[in-house]
Amino acid sequence: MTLRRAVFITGIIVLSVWTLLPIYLIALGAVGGRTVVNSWPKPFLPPADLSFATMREFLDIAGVWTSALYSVEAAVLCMAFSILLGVPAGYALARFVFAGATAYRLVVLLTRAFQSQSSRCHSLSASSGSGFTTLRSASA
Amino acid sequence: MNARVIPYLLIAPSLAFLAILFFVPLVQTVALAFQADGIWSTGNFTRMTGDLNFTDAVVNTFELVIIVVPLQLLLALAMAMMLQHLRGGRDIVLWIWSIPLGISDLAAGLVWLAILTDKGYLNTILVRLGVLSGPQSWLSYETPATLLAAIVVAELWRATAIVLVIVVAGVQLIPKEYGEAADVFGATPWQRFTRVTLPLLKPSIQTALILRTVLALEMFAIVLSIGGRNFPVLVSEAFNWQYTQQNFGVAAAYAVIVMGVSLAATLIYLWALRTPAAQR
Repeated sequence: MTLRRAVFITGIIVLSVWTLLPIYLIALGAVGGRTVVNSWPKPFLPPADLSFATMREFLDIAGVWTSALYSVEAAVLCMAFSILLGVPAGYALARFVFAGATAYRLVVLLTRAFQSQSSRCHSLSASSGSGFTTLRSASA
Repeated sequence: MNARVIPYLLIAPSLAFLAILFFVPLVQTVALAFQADGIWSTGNFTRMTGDLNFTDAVVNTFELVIIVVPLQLLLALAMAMMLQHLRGGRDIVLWIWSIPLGISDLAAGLVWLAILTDKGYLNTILVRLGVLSGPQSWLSYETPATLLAAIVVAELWRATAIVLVIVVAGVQLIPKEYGEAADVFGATPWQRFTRVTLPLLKPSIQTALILRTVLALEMFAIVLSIGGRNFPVLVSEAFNWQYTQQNFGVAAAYAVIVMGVSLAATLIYLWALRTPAAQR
């Protein structure tokens, strides 16, 4: 292996660890429960008495499954609508030269410039989602 | 069918959707921002700029955008180039690197809070290495520099993946022949990257920059989970005015400001990174 290749592989590994390590650490908290979350110094290995009691407790809280279902529903609907609205529009932008294309692009981008937190209209997240699909299919 | 009509038919559904569900609330918000007690005025804006947190929020928001977005672009470009040179396992590496895409910003904020909090993993490592003698706080009001750095790191971790995905899609569209031609003419890898790959990536970079800048201007959940009220940004101020103070007018004024800045940034990118029609 050349030095170049070694540096390259190290880079790949460092970036992968950088992505995965925080997820591992938060997972430790999820299986370790209160003892891990409040402990000092923090353990880097899973506790010996590894249990899913905390996860089970969490899943037993009333409403967790209902809200999970709502999330899935909202995600599926958003995806369906943004594909339905965004793909034809993206195709139009990518395949046709027409007057108003730039203006339309700007309008789509405008949805992104409007943060959903302070808007009282929840359907906005769907509209900004479709904006993203439009942009993606236009640039792909 | 007339080819002139087709594109308009294709964008018509989304335009209708936007007209009803975007423009109406947009106009309402702008109207709300410019009204106080039912009469037209700029009172909300005066109240907003007079607020103690306003200057901090503006400075913090711009600081974040100016630091985070270029770093993300550089990191994503480097990652995309590395992926291109990977012989095996390209798919698995791309998959790992895009995992943060699936993590909500609030969850990402909590992940990094667990690492950076006083009794967190970072301090554990630093104490073990002998750098620190005990827990040190990084995210308090007294340590604005490390607080900013923490938010930057968390945002880099969470949102570089979206830039990466856009850039990777763009790289895949570049025909291999261009790079091979550059090789034949004796270009170094760096010349190949700056003279062939980067110019051809311009449309993807434009999309990525616009999206990331606009989203970074709206950073909220990460900032709130890591910095709390110690690090006001424009959107967290809008949120406070809306829900804590129940003053919808000032919240709308913030929304209008964020929108104005986003629009200006978008126009600048569209202009600065435009591709002449002849090259499309």
